[in-house]
Amino acid sequence: MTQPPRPRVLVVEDEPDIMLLIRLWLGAGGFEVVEAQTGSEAAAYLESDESFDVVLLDLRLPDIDGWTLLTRIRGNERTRSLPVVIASAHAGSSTARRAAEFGCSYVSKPFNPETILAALRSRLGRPAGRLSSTGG
Amino acid sequence: MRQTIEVLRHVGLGVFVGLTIVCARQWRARTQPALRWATIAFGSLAAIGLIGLVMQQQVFRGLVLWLIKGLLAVLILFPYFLYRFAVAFQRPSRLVMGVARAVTLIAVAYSLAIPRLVLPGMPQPAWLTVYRGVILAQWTILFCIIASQLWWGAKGQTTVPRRRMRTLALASLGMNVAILLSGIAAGTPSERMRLVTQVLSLGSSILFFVGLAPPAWLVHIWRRPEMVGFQGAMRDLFAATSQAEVSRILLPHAVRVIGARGAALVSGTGTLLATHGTTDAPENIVALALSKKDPDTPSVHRVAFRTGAMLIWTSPYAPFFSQSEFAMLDGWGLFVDLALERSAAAERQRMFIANAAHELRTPLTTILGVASTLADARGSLTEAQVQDCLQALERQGARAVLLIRNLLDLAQLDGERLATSIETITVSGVVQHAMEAAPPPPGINVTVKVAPDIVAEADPDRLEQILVNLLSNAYRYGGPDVLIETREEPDGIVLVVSDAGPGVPEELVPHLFEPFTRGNGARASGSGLGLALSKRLAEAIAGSMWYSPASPRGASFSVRLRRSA
Repeated sequence: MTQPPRPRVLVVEDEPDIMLLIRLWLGAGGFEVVEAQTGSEAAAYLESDESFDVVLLDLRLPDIDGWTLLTRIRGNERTRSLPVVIASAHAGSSTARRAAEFGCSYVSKPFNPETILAALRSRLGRPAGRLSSTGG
Repeated sequence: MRQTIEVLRHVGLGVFVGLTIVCARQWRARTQPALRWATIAFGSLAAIGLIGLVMQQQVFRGLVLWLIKGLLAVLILFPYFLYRFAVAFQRPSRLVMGVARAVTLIAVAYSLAIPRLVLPGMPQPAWLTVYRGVILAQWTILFCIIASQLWWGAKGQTTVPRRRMRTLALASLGMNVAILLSGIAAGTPSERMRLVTQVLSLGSSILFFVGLAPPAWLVHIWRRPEMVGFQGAMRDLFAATSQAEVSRILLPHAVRVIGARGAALVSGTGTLLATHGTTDAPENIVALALSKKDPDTPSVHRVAFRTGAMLIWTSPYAPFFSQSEFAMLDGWGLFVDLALERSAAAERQRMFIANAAHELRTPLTTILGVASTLADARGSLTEAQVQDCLQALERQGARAVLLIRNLLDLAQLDGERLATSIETITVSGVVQHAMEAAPPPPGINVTVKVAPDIVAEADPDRLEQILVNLLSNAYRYGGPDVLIETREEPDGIVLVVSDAGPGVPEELVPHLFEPFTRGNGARASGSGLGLALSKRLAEAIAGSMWYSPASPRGASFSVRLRRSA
């Protein structure tokens, strides 16, 4: 009996200890985690690897702003409809609105394993472009 | 009674001479067209009175007819000059202007054309009756225009300008009644009628005086309602806790005190903070507020103060009648500065608390997350993962402790309660201690070039704290090579920590020593307070600290210490 493939998530997070937590949670939740500590590292992964199912993106990154990276993802033909979940400590309605404009889900930091797994699972198999038409 | 009339006449003349001097002095101080016309108007009236006094002595017998014709013409021009004063603020309709000009022209021409003098008691010819009618009509028309222009123009003005304008309107009407009475009774002048006209004329001249140059005590009484509003505004201003709130309170009050159409508040850095009742383009408002020149339009008043400027769009009457209110408004600058600075400090404090909470939240939630993961899922974790978790707990705990310690130090430094003990120290000894407390991580090499005999006056523990902060900073942002060295300068020992990293981005430099300023590349493991704290610590131990770019690249932080005596 073959196991179904584990969904691949690219986690973009600069805090090593938060990364550790996410790695543990997502690993236990059945995801295969690929880690990027900077925006440029994440961009390089997305450029060379087409097999990601979803991206978990921290907005505060050491090199480039999370929104800038998101604009690049949406501007690239290959990654245009890649599901993205934004994680940010700067909680606010403007962040949520902007996330929706990019066709992204949004979870506010600090998060717990349940919220983050639910957010990622709900986006699997749902390309970004269809987000608004399905109502969220 | 004759004597009383003569006395009244002389007093009235004195008032007009006084009015002329007052208007001329104001005109010299501020070259407003209205003041020019007021000076000419009262000057001409005073001149007629003075010449009349001389003529009573009958000095110019031969020239009497032409002199009197000239005087009559000037007398006719008096209401015209006063009319020019009243319309200098706001032009009336073309029809009104045409009528005023025409009746004046006819009256002057008639005066120059009279064939001879008719003294009281002589038979009254028909042309004289017509002439008298023309003059009375001209005076009445012009004074009605003046009175209505000032009376209705006062609508919407604040108390002081409104009272001043309406006093002038009443003075004009009084003057007109006086001239009508003397005109009607001209053929058969009774002593009583002459007394009444003299009293009316004197009363009007005093009203003119009050309207044009009100005494300070009267202005004070008139201004009471605005002063009550002003005190309310000040009370509200000092309760304001944000710049937006300061603007929201200030502008409506400023508009009310001046009776203005609108107002705007611009910060010293050229940010339009708020507008009230004006629809001008923001860039125009900012340019007008920051310009060094006076606004081109007299109806825009600028109140400049240290932290910015307030612009007020006034009625056309305000520059003349609201001088005292403008002076009061100019005096607000100090209060606005205080209120804006106070609210900026409150905003900074709110930001500081928000930042501190945010910084604390990261380690605490990580600790909580790791702890609950260990509690719930320890069985499914590998030994290496458990070790990672325990190390994360330790790191984040240390981070929270560092942050709290720095916050406490910063609070003590701001309250100037930090205890320091300044003593003679060996700089190399303190550097060594700092290196032990903050050893370089793998891949980073620290070179120390500090001669062992260099001594300075400092608090060794605080200096070590500064050095640890600077080293941690260099490890976090700099390249692989860090250099610690000293330089002897005439005014002290300079201790320099430099790295060969990318240096501080130019836009960050002005904020480098503010709490929670972070550069790109930050693994956000520091407290965000290290540099802010270090600078204040350096100052607390009677030294100073500054940043300069290192050569050829990198960041260089210098601490100046006092030399040992």
